Amino acid sequence: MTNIVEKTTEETSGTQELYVLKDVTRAYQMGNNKINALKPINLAIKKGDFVSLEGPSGSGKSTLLQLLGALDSPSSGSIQFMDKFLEQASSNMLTSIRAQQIGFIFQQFNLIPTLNAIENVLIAMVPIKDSNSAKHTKAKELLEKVGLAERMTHLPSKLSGGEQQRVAIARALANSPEVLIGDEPTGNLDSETSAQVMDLLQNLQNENSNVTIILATHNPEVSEFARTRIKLKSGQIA
Amino acid sequence: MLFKYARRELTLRWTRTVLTALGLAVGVGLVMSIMGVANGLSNAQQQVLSPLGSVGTSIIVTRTVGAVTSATATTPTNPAQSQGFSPSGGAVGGGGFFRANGNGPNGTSLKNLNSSDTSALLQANSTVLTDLAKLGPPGTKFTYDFFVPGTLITFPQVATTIVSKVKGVTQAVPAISLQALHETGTVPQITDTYTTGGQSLAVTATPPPLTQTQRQQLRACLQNQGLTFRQFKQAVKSGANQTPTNSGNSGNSGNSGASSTASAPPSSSSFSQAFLNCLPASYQQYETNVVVPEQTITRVLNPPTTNTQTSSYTVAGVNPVDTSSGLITTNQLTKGTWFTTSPANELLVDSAYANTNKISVGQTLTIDSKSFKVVGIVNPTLTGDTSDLYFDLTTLQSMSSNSSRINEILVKVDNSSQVNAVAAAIKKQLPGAQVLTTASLADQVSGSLNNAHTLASTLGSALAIIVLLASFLITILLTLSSINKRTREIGTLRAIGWKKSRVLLQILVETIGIGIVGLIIGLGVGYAISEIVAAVGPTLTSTTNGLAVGASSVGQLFHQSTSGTTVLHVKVTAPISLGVILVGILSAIAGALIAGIFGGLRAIRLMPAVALRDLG
Repeated sequence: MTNIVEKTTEETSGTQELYVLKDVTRAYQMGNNKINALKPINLAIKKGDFVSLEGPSGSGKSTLLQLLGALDSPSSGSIQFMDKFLEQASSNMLTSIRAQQIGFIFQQFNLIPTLNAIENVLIAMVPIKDSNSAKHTKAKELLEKVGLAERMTHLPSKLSGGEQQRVAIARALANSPEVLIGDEPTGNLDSETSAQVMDLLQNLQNENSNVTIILATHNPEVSEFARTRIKLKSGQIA
Repeated sequence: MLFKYARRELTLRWTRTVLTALGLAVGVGLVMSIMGVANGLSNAQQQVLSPLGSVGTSIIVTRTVGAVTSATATTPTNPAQSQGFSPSGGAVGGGGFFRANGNGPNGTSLKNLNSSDTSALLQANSTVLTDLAKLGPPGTKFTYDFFVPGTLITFPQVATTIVSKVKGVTQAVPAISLQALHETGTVPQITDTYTTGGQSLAVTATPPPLTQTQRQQLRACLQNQGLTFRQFKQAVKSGANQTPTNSGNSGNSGNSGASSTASAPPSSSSFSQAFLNCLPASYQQYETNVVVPEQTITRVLNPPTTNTQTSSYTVAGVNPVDTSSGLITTNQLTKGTWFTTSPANELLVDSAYANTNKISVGQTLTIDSKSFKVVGIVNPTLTGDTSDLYFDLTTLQSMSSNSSRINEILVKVDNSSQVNAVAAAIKKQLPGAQVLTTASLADQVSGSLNNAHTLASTLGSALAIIVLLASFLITILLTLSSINKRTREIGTLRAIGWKKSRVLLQILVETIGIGIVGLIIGLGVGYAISEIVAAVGPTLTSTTNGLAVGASSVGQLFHQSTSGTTVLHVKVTAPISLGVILVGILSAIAGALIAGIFGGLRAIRLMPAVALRDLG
């Protein structure tokens, strides 16, 4: 392991790669059947890239997204995220990485239904140490940035789908992550709202070119925004 | 964020909150009620035993029959022997109530005390015999009150001082409890009529011989009648021959003979007459003393009809100085005042007795021909020493011929944990004393009250635990169900970087919030049930059996006859005490914590990846 770490560090030093995946597999045990969701995958994602993961259901894009989002660990292979090897990280370490370097956008928005817009943003700041007022100021700024300055105290149930997803984007940005990971972020939105959300994401990247965006989708309109398109089929890059 | 989030969860999802809280509340409320009922039963039992507890008496010293011994056994002369006194008294070489090897207070010899004690005991209870003859002449109206120790044998008051010197004793208060017999009536006239006489008596008497003078007078008299002894002899001779012929005219010849000359010999009849005339007066009319033979007449007399009426009541003598300890205390006064500084003619009356007999404060009662003023009404607790009248100790002692004698010592102990040790020490000091502690008294109370109390304390606590566990289980299940419904939410929190510990904390804070709501509802439920129990609560009975003297001290203390049984009815309540509330609070918190831990552990086992899944 030590050898690999040293070797990889040497190889990646000086490069702009955010992710380097080597022979990554992920298998699930479903009863007596072993399902190989991901067959060995080798992949590199550059920092500041806009990546789309495409493929039909069961192609392994969700599994890959979970691995990239530090939500899950590979069955084998190595995932280098910045200077860390995710397959070696403990659960707490992964939590910490998610808290500080990764922002998530979900298809169902996944806002806390009992908290209003600004509180939903603040909740993502719970793991980081900062004063409450500073957190509050930042949450406000983020909501203003996504165009919800007037709707900060609304509960999710009082917001439209597009508004909810914008709150979710604000939440994903709360900790100034390195990467935004979205799973079908427009899956529950109509095409007009989808376009607004995609514009928002693109604008964000224009403002801060260091932010990497990785979206899993099978919506061609979303894929059009991507500079790098990764197509998966049966757990392998097609 | 922690509390804001928790508050939002609880308020915005209030139905779930209330439902879960209700599960906890029912448990908390029921546990509180069960504890309340158990407390109520304890209180009821306390009420039964309160005469001891309320006056702070831990030990009661009375005397067993075994301590009463014959006069010969009371004064052991051998000090070595007396050293080995058996505490039971009388078993080894003697049986004085007091240890013989030593001096009592003021240098009194305890040996002497033992012997005087014995004679006093022999006289005890004898005063109750009504001797009509001693009550006065027939027709006299009498009213008497007799005081007898009954089942509680008396002993010298010096014992109080001995007990008070036992280590660990705070206070020893003397008291005398007696049974009183009130008799009124009229001394009856006892009459009996019988007739004597009518008997036939045969008596033989010998008259005294004639004196010289009498003989001379007789002779002279006969000569005056013209008779000589010669003629007398002839007359006797001829009379013997001619008796049949002379008898016909003896009267005439006698009369004529008396006046005829001496030449013609007089007949024998005329001679007898003359002779009789000449006898001394004492022979003519003879007197003697006759002793009638002794006769014993036995008759059965029916007892006279009397109008004597008896009634009984109980009396007790208390030391007026002991206002806070003893058979009654100032706390038990309901009306009037305590004994004044001159208590000799004052009385305290039990409230029940006062009610029955319509006695009020200020009234004067005549007892044993003496007047007593009722100064106060006392209300001794439910049972216990419910004497009807309370006298000044000295007064009752002299009235009942029990000078310096008592039959109860009520002992206060420094520390309740020492009760048994002190009791043993007293027994050692007073061989034959029956030393009764409140604990041993409690053991002798039976009946449904006791059963219910046992039931409440054993089955009740089991029930409380079951109810609580069931309630906890419900709370846990509802919490788990809530966690399951929030899978996506919790997964999201984990995905955006919340640590497991933070999620656990969040769930705990929420369930504690539910616990607080549950507690508030539970307190309401508990109070409601308590009120219902108080309103429709069952009345339980307590039976105290007075067994043979010496065998059951309860019977003695409750002043029952040897075979008496007292049944008390005590209404059960379920008081919510501070302790019960505390248990309720602890139950609610415990339930909330357990549910929170179960729910939280469930929550942190969720993989953060579930946030990504389309769970619909």
